[in-house]
Amino acid sequence: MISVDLNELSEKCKKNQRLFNVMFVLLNGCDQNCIHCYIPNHNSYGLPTQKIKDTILEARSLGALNITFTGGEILLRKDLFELIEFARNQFLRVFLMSNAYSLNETKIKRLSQLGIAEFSTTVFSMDPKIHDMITRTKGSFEQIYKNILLLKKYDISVTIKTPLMELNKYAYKQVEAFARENNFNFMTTTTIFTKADGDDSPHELQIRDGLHDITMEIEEILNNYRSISLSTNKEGIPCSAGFSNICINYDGDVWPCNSLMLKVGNILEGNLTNIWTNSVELNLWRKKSVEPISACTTCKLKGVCLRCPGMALLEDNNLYGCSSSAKKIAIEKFKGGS
Amino acid sequence: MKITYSKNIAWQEFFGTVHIFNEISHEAFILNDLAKEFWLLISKSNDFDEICYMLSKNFSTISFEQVKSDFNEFMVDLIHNDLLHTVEDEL
Repeated sequence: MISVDLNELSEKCKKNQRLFNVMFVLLNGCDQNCIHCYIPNHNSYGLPTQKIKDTILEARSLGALNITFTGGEILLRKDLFELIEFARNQFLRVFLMSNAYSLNETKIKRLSQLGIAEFSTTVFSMDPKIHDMITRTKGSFEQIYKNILLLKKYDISVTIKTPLMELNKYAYKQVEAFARENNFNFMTTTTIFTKADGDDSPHELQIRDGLHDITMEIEEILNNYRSISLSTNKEGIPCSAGFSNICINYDGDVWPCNSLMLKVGNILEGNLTNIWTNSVELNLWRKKSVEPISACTTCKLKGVCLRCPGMALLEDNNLYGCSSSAKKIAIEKFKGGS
Repeated sequence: MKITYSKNIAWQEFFGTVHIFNEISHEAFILNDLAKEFWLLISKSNDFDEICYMLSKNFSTISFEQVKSDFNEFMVDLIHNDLLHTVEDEL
């Protein structure tokens, strides 16, 4: 038996348009009310259980290995454990993205028994006041801190994410130290998404002062955690969206990725297999996305810019154009000589 | 002996190889060639002898006895790594 290089496997899937990751946005309902949330409404509790199970079976047949459940807050779905167990019974890897607020030891023990691959959650700050101010939920830090340590106790792999805003712009230092001490994975970003309906009010929360130093410092920190290399604007496939990844939204819409809300089908009108193979929109994306982007060709930032097509579509209304958010960060990195 | 995939694993076939992840020990493995064929046949039969018989039929140059002898050690290794269980373990 030989050891597995997951990065190499993931890259190979991307190049061969072989499905690898399927993300389900199970619902948009949530038990917190984060100030920067990109979801405009929290009123849907998602697809019927059986439809999700049928789609998981299709994903397995199409060759997927990874299933990610995200929301909204996935713990609000009454059938969450049933869905996890179903996916695990198909021998799929299961990744969960949750705010961890309504976990408890019984649920965590069950997750451990089910053998989930990873639990990913968000810590905005190690200062409970700041964390609770961002979630607008009193006591949320205390609750998730306790649950994160319980996840560790049950040997569940944890990823801690820290989106940075003006309110918590230096929180990455302490949160990263906490992650390191506990052997958790860590991710942080200064990018705050526009809401999915185009409302850009979350941008008002972005870091106003000190962005350059923070960008440079988190870049250095993240180099210690990144297991998959991020591709800058060079030639070839921009990212795995639609090439080895697919996302199914709570209303059945299918997108190449949860950040790239380009509708390529709907599983209530068809099925995943047909969409993955025959969707005109998906095949057009695959064809056009590998072509050089004219805005990037002569741009001096292309060596440091991590352009996200999803952000370009959402914020700049041009799937094949410049992403102003990525550009903003690239400018800071360029100044720093990264 | 009756065997079955361990409930603690995830696995999938990729580009002619089988990738297996033990979600409890966090170890990962790749099987190729005959080992891969052996693994895939477990989807069709839980009986070790029957799997060996099917393998020997698929690869006519190898006798049933030879396959059984070669794969016995391999199966023990898979069980040791918690990738396979004997059906008795599952009960």
